[in-house]
Amino acid sequence: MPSDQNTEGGATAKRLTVREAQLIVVAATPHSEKFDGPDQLLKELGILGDAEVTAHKAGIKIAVKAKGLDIDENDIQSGPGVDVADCRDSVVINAK
Amino acid sequence: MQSRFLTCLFFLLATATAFCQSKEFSLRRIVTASIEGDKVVLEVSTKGPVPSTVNDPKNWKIQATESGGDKRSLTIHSDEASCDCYDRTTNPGGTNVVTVKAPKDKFQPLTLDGASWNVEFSDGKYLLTASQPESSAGLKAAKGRDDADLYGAFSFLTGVGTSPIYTIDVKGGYSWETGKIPVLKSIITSPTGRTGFFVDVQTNTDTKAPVDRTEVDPDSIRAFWKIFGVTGFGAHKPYSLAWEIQPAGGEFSRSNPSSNFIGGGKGQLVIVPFSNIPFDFNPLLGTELGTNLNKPSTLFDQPVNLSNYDAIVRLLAGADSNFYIFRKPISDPDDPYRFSFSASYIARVPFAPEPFTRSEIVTDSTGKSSRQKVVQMRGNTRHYVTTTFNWNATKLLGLQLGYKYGSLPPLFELVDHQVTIGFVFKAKFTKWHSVPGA
Repeated sequence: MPSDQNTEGGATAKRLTVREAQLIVVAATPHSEKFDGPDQLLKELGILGDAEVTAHKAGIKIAVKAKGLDIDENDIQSGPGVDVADCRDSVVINAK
Repeated sequence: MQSRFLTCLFFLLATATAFCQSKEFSLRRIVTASIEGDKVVLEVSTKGPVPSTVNDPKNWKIQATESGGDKRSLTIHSDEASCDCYDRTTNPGGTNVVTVKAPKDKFQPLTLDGASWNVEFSDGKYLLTASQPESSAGLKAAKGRDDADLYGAFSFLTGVGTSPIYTIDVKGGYSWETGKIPVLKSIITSPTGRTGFFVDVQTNTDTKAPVDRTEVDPDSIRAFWKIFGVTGFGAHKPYSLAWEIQPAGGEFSRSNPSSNFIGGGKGQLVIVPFSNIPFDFNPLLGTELGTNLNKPSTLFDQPVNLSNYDAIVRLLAGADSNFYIFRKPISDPDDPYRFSFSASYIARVPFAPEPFTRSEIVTDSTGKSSRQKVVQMRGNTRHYVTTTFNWNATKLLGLQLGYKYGSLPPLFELVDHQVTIGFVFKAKFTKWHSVPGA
């Protein structure tokens, strides 16, 4: 489950943990079995061109929604030259 | 000989430096900043091999800056630091994120609500800083016309003996999530579903000087309503299905009096069959349904009989495929390809006769022969093949080879084995392009 984040004002905001986001990012690639660390480029996991990038972002959005949160696909960093960590961080930061 | 040796040495050193740089430890950003009980907790994302010194809290400093008022700032040492370091065997779910904590009361008297955070890591070897990412603007630069949501190209031609000619190429559209639209919400249940209106207008594209009067006449207008989305299958074959429904759309042309009302739908699978070959294969199936809106008696200065051209019912079948060779290393995520090869095939199978236009030698009543475009109503399958080869020699210069064969609606003018070779130069001004705060 997403963790709760406290702010000083007392409000509690649900958010994804970094581990959850990394699992989502990797699982949404065509070849998640090739995962070999957060510095790995997404091209090595099968994110090759525009079609895969669109599908990757969609897969992430579906998984984030399943956790009770939402994310705009435009806020997700994905592409063959983007590494898992950068993509994951964009998901953690923008999933609300 | 000596200069060749020096060139090779320089190249090797440059490659080694780039390789080493990419493998160096660095901090990416602060991913999260929160207050948990009496602690300020920051999660710092790292890059490269993580040294064990990251687990020493004395190596970390945290800086808080108030969001309002005098924007006071305070820097203190952390009192806890731990890394969730990736290891293929012992911690395969590791994130290489360091959690840095500090007592909240040490930041007194700052107001921490809405504060911005920075961290500094210093272990005697590295001196690194990281901050929270800034929120992105509503508009970002697009790679080109096809990539753009909003696009406008405006040119102006003038000279002696001609009134100005304005050429305008405008494309725009906006889509919303179907889940946020009351009626569609219950029909389209896909979380990735979107719907929107899109317009594409081109004016004066064929006008040549001189002209006596300045006019802005639309040559081509396309307007359509589209519902689209992607269904992902994750790490399976196929990988995903991109689907699209076009309930209504219109295509109008001024150069030829042809216009169609078109709707339809299509689905395209994305398949990445191999884990070690950068190749994809994307089969497509769809339909185009609509009606012809006008029946001119002549087209291309030739008489035509379009009396039985009414309904448009077509089956679409085809596939596209891409093969990529990436740069080594990829220094810019927006420019990853050294070579790319794309091929696309689409067949349109009409269920009712539609115009088909070929270039033929026609002999007129005076016995003079000339090449003319001849339009016939036929029920044949319309093929369209394109292949493109791109070589991005440098970030600025590239070579593009293209091949086309086949025909496209509405008049299906046959492009007969067309080969194009082009050089591409692409650059942007770093100073003017990156407007601060944009």
